[in-house]
Amino acid sequence: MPTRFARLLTLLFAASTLTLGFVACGDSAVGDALQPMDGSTEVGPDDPSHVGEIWDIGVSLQARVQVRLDRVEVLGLPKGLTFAGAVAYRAEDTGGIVGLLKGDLAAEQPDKYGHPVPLKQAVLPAGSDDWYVLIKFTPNAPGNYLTKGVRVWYVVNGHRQHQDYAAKFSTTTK
Amino acid sequence: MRRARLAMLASSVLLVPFMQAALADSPPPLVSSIVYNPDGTPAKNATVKMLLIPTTDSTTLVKQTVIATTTTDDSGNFSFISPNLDTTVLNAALQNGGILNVGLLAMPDYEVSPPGTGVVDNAPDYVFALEYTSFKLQQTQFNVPSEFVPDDEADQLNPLTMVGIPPADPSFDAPPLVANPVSCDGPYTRRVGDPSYPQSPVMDLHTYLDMSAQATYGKTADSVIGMGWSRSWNNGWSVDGSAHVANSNGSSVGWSEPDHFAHTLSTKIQVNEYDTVQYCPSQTYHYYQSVPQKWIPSTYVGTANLSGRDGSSAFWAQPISHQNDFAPRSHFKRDSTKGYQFTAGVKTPWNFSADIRSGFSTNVTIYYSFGSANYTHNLFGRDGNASTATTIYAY
Repeated sequence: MPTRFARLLTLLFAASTLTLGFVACGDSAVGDALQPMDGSTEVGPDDPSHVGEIWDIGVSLQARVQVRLDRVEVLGLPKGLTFAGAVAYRAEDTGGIVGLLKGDLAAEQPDKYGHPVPLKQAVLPAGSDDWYVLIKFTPNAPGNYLTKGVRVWYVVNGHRQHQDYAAKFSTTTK
Repeated sequence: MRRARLAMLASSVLLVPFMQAALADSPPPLVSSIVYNPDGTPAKNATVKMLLIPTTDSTTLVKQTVIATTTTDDSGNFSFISPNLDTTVLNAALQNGGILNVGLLAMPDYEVSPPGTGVVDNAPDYVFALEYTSFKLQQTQFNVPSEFVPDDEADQLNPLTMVGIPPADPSFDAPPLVANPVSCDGPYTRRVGDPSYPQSPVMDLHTYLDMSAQATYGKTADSVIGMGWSRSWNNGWSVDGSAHVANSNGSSVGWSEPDHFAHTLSTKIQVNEYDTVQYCPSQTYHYYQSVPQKWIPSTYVGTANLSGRDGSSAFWAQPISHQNDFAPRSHFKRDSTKGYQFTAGVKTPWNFSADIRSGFSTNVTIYYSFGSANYTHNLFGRDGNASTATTIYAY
């Protein structure tokens, strides 16, 4: 007959095994699903922009595992500059990645940019390197503007995570 | 019994990940290795000295600074936990942006030279292993003593494998002498000849129609350069490891180039040759070292025209994800980090050939201005788009 102490040990062992098993088999989020960017980039028009203009920058994404995009946040968005939304594109569908272009591209160049993918519907397969997010900025007051970067939120294995990119937009607005 | 002639072969150098510190009771070695006799047996009781690489401008012999000494065990193993953290060592690191360049000199516990022949230069029995590497000075916490960790950047250029040079004359069969080189005095070293200033490529810069570009390099920019040693002053160089030269003098240099430009941009590194001497009981031994010294702020443009890939739709069209489109009268700027290292070969007047790699800095920048022509301007790369490519091409 096992002693009370032995039964306690057995219970503890079973509990620890269960715990370890749960940890080993549990749902694991992938913390580096999107490849970070080395260094930083900055784009912008050389001439002064105007209030109400739309400027578009592209931030390319490289997925290590399959991810679904969720939303985009602009880091260091200065007052007077509006973040006018973000969509996703495949470079293959737009003939490359937007560095910096002007205007409402989907409306003005429907042949090339007419079919953006809403962020929450964009699923980047593992190893993908031809997806990018197009981010729209609109100055709504005169001033000098420089953003600090872009935060891309995504979902992987049911977990919502984000990756920051030092992709900046600058402009002087009349 | 005659002992085997010694050409020390050291291999399997392990730069132990510093992460293991948390798991071990004692600090992990900063560098460790095994030293072998030429017949494959472990070289036990060999002396291994860790030296600051020479930086003197003196043309008369000055003593090279030994910062740690150890001996191999019965299996030929040796390791260094850390060099002494004294003022000399710390200053050497701090004057090089926190990077300490060292040489590891392994000597047998006996000499094999025939006695009485005086100075031995390019002698067949002149044998030991010499390898170079570097460490990073790390400040763990405020007011906590600094520590050195392996410098992974340097070892990526020439992995530290410590392969020694065997005797030049395989038929040489000198009787060994019983003399412990621990009693050797040295090494002493002096600069010989004039310094060399090989060009260190920073990047290839490309522009095309209706665009211009600027590039800057400097401030905290770094270069990693192959190190070597030889028995002769002008041939037989062995590339063994590397030195990491940090450009910490606060300078920066720049290039500003017009459209249709496609050339390699370079700066210069000073490299010295040193004659190094060890005074041992029966002989005086010589060897030579090719040692990178410092960055010389300067700008050069290569003569070769590299425009073959610019403006070529056939070249950039695949993969399409490596192309970026820019509006007229706009700009694109990239600050690089080690993702954009640029490697090329250099050669000194003393026939030392090695790789040199530049570009660890956040101050290696590329800036494009696109003109007013009413079309989309394109940049593209082969291994990524304009944000990530090693080299940016233009269309």
